[in-house]
Amino acid sequence: MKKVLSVLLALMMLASLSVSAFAADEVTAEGYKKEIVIAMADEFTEPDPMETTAETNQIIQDCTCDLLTDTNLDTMNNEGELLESWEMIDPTHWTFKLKEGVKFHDGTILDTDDVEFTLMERAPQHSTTSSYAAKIKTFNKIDDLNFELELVQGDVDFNYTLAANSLAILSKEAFETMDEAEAVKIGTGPWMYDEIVPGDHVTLVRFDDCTLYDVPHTEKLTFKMIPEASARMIALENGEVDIIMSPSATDYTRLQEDENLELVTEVGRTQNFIGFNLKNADSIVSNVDFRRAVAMGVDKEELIYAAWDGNAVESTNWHCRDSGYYSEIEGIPYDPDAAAELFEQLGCDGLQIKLVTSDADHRTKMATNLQSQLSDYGIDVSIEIMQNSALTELNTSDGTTSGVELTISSWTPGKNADYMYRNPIYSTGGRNYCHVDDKHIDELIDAGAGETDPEKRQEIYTELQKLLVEEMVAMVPVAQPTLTLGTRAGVTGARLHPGLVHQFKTAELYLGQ
Amino acid sequence: MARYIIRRLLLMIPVLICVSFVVFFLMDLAPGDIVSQMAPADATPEQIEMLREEMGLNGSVLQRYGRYLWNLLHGDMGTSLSLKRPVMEVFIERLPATLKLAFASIVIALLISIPLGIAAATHHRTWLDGSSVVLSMISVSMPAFWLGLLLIFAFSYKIKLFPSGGSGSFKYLILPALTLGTEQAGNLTRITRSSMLDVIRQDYLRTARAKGVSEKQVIRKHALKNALIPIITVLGSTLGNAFGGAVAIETVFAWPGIGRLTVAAINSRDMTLATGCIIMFTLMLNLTLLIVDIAYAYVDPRVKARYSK
Repeated sequence: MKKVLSVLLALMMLASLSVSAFAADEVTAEGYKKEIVIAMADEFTEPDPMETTAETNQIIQDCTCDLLTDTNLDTMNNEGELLESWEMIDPTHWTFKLKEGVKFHDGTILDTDDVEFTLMERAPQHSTTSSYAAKIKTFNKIDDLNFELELVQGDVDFNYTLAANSLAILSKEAFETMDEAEAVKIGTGPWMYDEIVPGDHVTLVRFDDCTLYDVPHTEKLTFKMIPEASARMIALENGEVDIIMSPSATDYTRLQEDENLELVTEVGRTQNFIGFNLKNADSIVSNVDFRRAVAMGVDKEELIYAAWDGNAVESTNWHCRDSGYYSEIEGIPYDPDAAAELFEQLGCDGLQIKLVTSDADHRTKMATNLQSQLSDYGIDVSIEIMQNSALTELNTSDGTTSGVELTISSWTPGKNADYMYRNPIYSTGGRNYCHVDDKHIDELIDAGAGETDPEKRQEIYTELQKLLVEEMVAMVPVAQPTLTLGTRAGVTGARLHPGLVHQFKTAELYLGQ
Repeated sequence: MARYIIRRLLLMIPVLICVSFVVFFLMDLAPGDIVSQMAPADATPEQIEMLREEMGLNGSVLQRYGRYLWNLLHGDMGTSLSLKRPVMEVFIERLPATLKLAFASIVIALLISIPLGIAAATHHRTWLDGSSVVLSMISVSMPAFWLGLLLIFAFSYKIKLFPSGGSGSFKYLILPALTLGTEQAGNLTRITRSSMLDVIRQDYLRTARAKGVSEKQVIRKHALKNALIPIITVLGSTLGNAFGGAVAIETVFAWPGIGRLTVAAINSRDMTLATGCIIMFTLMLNLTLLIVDIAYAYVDPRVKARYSK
């Protein structure tokens, strides 16, 4: 009897678990799902926008905070988010007007004091924002909504600087009345923090007084951390989550074929490239003809299939497509015969060369495919794979002594053209992985940043693009991969951002009444 | 006994210092540092240097380790470089999830392995014995992440009985605990079986049977109790490993435990957090082994007699 009872009890427990494990979706009176659950791979670690540059953190912060300017994902233009308008009087002198009546989560109204507090008091104290703050010489408050900035140096793209996620505007009053740990959570976005469970999930609740966006019907937005891609996919198929970030390329077909699911795609702004260490004088990579031969000899289409299952757009140019002042240059077209001839002239048969890259899946696949392609020309590529921070450290260390010859890496710029060059190409740039050190190129970068006439700027950037890829051949641009989200059918307001900080401010799922 | 426990506790101090030394220096030797990950992509060399200074990463490794050890000896494990919070606070926040998973998995492992090991030993060289050997070999050989994915596929995707991942109520615990428990059960079954086989052939059991004690009583009261010592030893180390070694399972099931935290800290080169987690893991493992040693005394009177001398 005891045994029968215990078996019955166990079965009842299992039954109760199964009921609660997959409870029916809760729906609002208007027929929208009350809670949208988004599965992401990485952990949320930091609510303070100025303490982090990790995309996972910024995606959630983007729901709670707003920027002075941001990319409009419909037009892909830099537009005012908290700003009503702005004017560049000259490259060092700008005036701005804030939108009226914007409320913070603590009920206070946004004014120029909050902007001054964010840009002039907090930003200089944080390493992620100090360089932006250093651009500003003086902040002059005109009234509660208008202010002007005098810059240290002329910057015709300064409006793009204000779109940096770490410069989200926070409430000055909140910092005066609350602990800093709580004050950093007070933004103007359509969502407010409700619960942060480290390593597990972050729940946001709707901010009904938000005036910047149409308040969504969704009442709660939960970001759940599921590191494993296949587990994320199963959670989506089960209905445990409504949106998954970074689905595996092998699941794209399942997402497309299942009528209950959707695959959302957008061309990303990450330029993946094969870089040459131009300062390695002991290596053949310092010879421009060798670099040209590699550029001609590499079939980028094959690399794209190997790395992203074909889900990427081939690049002919270092400059990303949707960044300002992109030119349709030809680059160096694929020509295996010409490449073979040039490699032969250079005596590359039996050449051994070292390639370094990180352990990211697409990079290791690119590396092994490149190894296979170059072996057809008699070049033996040895691959060294390391953790990403190790690769960054190696690529940014002194190029003459680092020993790096080839690298596979990437660069995700902002929308402004200067971002494409200032750090990864300028001779003193912090991410100059190819160790470009050319006075003329530096002059062109400076000229492009300071030029106010759009036509002249276009000429400068076109020259830069041709110089880098066709003449100097500092790198072989390979592709801008497609960004993806997997969603339940009917989800709206989940927007992929080419700069990787995807937007969920107005995420909704209509399920019917 | 008390003297023995105090001696063991004191011995842990040099062990922990050695562990902190090895981890700190290995982390320093590994290429890459946290600054390159935390600095914005458009950081200038000056900004990167400022961040390095802010994080206290300037100075030689010996100077940094000296500072770390001094603070550690004063009970301060430092502040996580990536999370900007005290290491102890972060660790304690994740500890309950790890303990929950570790203990639940041990319960499952014991529920599977003890009856199966006993049955295999008492039915030596029968199909039952053979099956238990094959099953335990499979559970030991199968990678935990693979078993986890299979269980998710079966119980979450197909039958829709349990959630595929996350933490919260009891239902979230079942699949990860079952995965880890099944993996641990393999070893425990093998040990239980072989230990029982050793005991079962002893003369005192034959005597008990001759005196008319029922077979159930012989196994439960005489054989199992004497076979427990090797089982407790393996159980102790299994539990100790479960505290910090369930990384794959925590990743597959999105379980917010210490294993994932430690791996994330190592990947992001967060030296203070990684070192702190490993020190705490070592401490927990040592304490578990101490408890195992104490448990011997209660299981085996001969051991107790040795302690009291």
